[in-house]
Amino acid sequence: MVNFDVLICPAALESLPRVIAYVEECAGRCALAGPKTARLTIAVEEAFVNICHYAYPDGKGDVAVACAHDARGPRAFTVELKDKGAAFDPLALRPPAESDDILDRPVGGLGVAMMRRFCDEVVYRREGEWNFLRLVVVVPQAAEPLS
Amino acid sequence: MEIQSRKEAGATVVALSGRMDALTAPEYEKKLRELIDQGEIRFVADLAGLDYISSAGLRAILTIAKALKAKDGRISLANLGGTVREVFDISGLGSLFQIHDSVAAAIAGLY
Repeated sequence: MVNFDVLICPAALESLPRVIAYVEECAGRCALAGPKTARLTIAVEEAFVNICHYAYPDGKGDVAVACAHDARGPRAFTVELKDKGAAFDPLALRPPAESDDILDRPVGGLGVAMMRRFCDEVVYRREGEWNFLRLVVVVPQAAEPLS
Repeated sequence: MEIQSRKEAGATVVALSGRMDALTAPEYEKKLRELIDQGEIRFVADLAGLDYISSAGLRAILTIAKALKAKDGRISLANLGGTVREVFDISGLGSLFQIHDSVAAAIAGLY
């Protein structure tokens, strides 16, 4: 398992470019490239933006983003977002039932639909004071790591 | 994200390039509202140069489309490719818009 250095940043939209750049760099080092990376970074944005909107209603706080790559077995690339905000399961946000609904629904439901579609696995858990959101994509077997 | 606008055949073509995400989507709304305030009501959004769009981008596009509808205006979309197309399809927004393979076809579809 390769664990990349964790990125810690404020849970604010201004941090988004840093978060995406970090995930893209880690993904690139695992030869996860092309459309699968593009889709993953959208999922990461959706997850991160939901944390920005909901985790710290009373003020500011940080998010830790950690990428990891399991090169054995199913060759999974994982992005885990961790925050110390209010207990909040973003996966419980309902996707809009109809397209017209999108603007009327709380921000985030559409993002959850993206996460589920673009990742092979999306898991939320609460541990003590922490929210953990894990996004997993499986790297196709044919890809070899760049040396 | 870069936004360029031009007039073509009576419509305003707004070409987006780069990334439309939670941070840049408000720029689209701001630009379109300026153009609408100037009296423009027929738009084509040319997404050929867009590498990336998230749900924030979709919300911005939908918000402007609704604002235009309230003024009897219209916006159609052109040149959705790759992941951008996929994002529209997942959201179901594809069915709300006229989507064309070229700016010319999108302009024609406005009339």
